[in-house]
Amino acid sequence: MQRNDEQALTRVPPASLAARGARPITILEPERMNLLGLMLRGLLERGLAAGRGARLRGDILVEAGGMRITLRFGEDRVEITREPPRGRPRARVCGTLTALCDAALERGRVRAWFGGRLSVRGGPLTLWRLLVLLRAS
Amino acid sequence: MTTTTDVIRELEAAVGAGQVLRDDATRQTYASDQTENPAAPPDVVVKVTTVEQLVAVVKLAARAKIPLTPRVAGTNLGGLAIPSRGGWLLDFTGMNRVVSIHPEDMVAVVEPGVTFGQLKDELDKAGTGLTIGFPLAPPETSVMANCLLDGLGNLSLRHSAMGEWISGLEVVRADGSLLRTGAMALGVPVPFARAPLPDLTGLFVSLQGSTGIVAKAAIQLWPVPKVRERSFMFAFDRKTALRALREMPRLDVLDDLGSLSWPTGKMLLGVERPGPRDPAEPEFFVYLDLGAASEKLMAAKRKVIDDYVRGLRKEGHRIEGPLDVPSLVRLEPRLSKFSEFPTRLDFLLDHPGGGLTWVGTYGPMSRFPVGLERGIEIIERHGFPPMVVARPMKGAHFGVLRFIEVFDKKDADEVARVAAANRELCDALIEEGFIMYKTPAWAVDKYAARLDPGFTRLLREVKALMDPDGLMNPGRWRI
Repeated sequence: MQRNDEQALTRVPPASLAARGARPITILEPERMNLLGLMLRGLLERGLAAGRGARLRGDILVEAGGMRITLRFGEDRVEITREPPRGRPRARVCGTLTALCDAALERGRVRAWFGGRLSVRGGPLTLWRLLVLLRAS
Repeated sequence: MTTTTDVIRELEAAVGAGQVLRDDATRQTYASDQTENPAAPPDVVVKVTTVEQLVAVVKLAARAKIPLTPRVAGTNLGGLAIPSRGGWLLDFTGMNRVVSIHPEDMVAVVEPGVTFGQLKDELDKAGTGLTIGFPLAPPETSVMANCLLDGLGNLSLRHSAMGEWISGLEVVRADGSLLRTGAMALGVPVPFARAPLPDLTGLFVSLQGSTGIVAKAAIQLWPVPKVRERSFMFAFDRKTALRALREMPRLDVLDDLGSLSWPTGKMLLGVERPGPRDPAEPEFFVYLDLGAASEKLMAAKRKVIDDYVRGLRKEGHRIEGPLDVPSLVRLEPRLSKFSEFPTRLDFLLDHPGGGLTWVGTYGPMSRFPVGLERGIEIIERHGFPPMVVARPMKGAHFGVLRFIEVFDKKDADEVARVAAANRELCDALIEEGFIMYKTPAWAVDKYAARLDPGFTRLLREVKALMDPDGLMNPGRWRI
């Protein structure tokens, strides 16, 4: 990977997210956050900065490798928390860490997402928007 | 003895006036390192760039009875380059020639200031197809120092601690005379090995400069594999991780294998002070290096690894991966710290508190479960997250078990806590059969009562013979 690509892919500063109209992302209680939440933050930041997932709203539960986090898509911010969803989540994604990583890396992600390696529940539109948002690019 | 004006004049004549520094600011720069060891400035900083200068400085120090402390980057994490009795600190960063490279025989001769980053660049530029093993220390770390202190690198799984990679030395003794060891002692054209002459090289390994100052070291190198792959596995519990560390070397396909505990991953991902672990998350990240002469061989090695991991899962162990590092970097670019070595782990080296220390030990793989258990209990009880590195070495004949703490150097309470934690770790790990490498003076004090009397007697005799006035990095291995 070229050095400029690495720089482009590093954490997107909140000011930059705002400048691009993207919602800032906050990890609630970062010292307690698990590996899943920490890794998803980077993916979310890059995806939101690229204009993806702008219309996602509500709580989405993600479980991978036994770890569980809630992505909270609000009007003006996104939060990542280990707290359970408030009420019924808009969507739920569950599977191994490897399956989630493969989906994000676009290795058979559609099949993984909708065909069994990951268990997904929720509105198809929400799931599709999440799938697009969590691309590792 | 103090440095008189006449002595300063002679020192300046030996190395150049601009290379003798006595101002307070400079002295304070060299007074400490990242550890909790108390700061102690030298009286004078002397920048040495040639062996002729070194000989002159050592002779002058011997005459004036001035202690000498050698230093390059000062990243040893044992306080070993902090002067214990003032004197002259010898800064070798400018004595940094790669004197020779013998590509067919895979050996290079280096001066003390040659760093891992520099050596890699020179080997690559010369198109040698050779490499040295890299520690997780920063690229500005001295190759020679890491070898002389018997550190480890990413080829230690195959080739043991780095002291074994030394095939010969050129040393300046306390009286300023020169000696050579290994094949260099016979003046043969290629310094190919320590064998088969009597192994006097050992008189300078792990003795922390207290028996002489090394001016040149012949270090063995290894071929860069045509095909290379680094990947990570996620072990959800320590039992699984330790079993993999113990068994995978016997598959005979790996170039490197090691594990980092969960706080390291979190700090890499921006959490400065990781809190309690989510019980569901991986406890250890296990990394694997594979190297092969062809894609076909690499595919065969990958299959061996996959079969082994599948076997672990069948037995109920929770382990995910391997996931190759380039893919992981696409997911999280900060993981690029582990893409290539040497690397700079800035989340450890450059964090706001500035303090970094460890108790690093070598010990038998069979004792890793109990060593790890005890170490984690101690480090957590003292209020630090359990940052652990565990790696098999020399085919798993032994391994490194290292407990790392980051702390705020300006917080007296944290400094006291980390010092207490380290002492308790040292005691517990000795009981479980582990021995600290790059041994700080305070740990040597703990060993004194336990050491074999014959070993102690001979060590004292050697130090008295090699350094009768006690000027060579005094305070090291004082037993």
